[in-house]
Amino acid sequence: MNPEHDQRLKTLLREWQPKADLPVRFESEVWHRIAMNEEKRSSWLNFDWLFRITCQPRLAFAIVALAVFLSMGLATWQAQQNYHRALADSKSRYILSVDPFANVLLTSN
Amino acid sequence: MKRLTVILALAVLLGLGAYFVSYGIAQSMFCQMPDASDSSSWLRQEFHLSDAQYAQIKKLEADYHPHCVEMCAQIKQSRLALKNLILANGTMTPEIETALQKDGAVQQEWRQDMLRHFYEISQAMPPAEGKRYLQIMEEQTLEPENMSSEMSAPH
Repeated sequence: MNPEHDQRLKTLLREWQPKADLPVRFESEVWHRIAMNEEKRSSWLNFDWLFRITCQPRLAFAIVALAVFLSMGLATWQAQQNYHRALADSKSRYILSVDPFANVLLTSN
Repeated sequence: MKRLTVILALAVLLGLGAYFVSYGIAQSMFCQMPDASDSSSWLRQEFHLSDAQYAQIKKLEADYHPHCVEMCAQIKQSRLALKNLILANGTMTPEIETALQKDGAVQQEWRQDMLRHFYEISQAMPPAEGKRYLQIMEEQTLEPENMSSEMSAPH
């Protein structure tokens, strides 16, 4: 590299000043956010992620839809479980009603 | 915070609503509960019986029931007599032998009557279902290992 160009670039960079208008307390706000992030990053239990998710409509909708689908699945599963249990009870009642020996055992035990 | 509360409340409310609606639909569509007061309701559901078949089976059950009660009393009496004789004697006696023979005869009669009833019921069903019914009833009532497990099983 040309040492003369290098010297000129250094001078230019030293003289350059950004002209953007930053909001009031921009710098302190950035440092505050960095500090908050580092403080909360390790824990899922603070539910910060939930606050962030609910700010996004698609994800909020997904939460509600997931709750609905899970409830539907749970209800169908429970209905089937109860049905099979009731059917097994009904079968036992029938066998007791036709089998005198089972009846004798039931009353003697 | 308010937004989060609203979304979570909505999820809980809609979830609960979906649960109850789905449970109701599942029960009425494909999980209809058998009638707890009717001991034969299991047959109707398990073997997909028509109203006419079910009515015929109900009639057969009604005819069989008094006999079943009578058999139940005979088995009880025979068992009690045998038990009393066994406990009253310290060795094998002719009375115990007679009681054992009587108990065996009662058991044989009970098995024959029950099997006759199972055949009648199976004939009132569609052939394939009748065969399945016989298979289930044979396993549940006539196989010795199931009879002994019934003895120990809490009802």
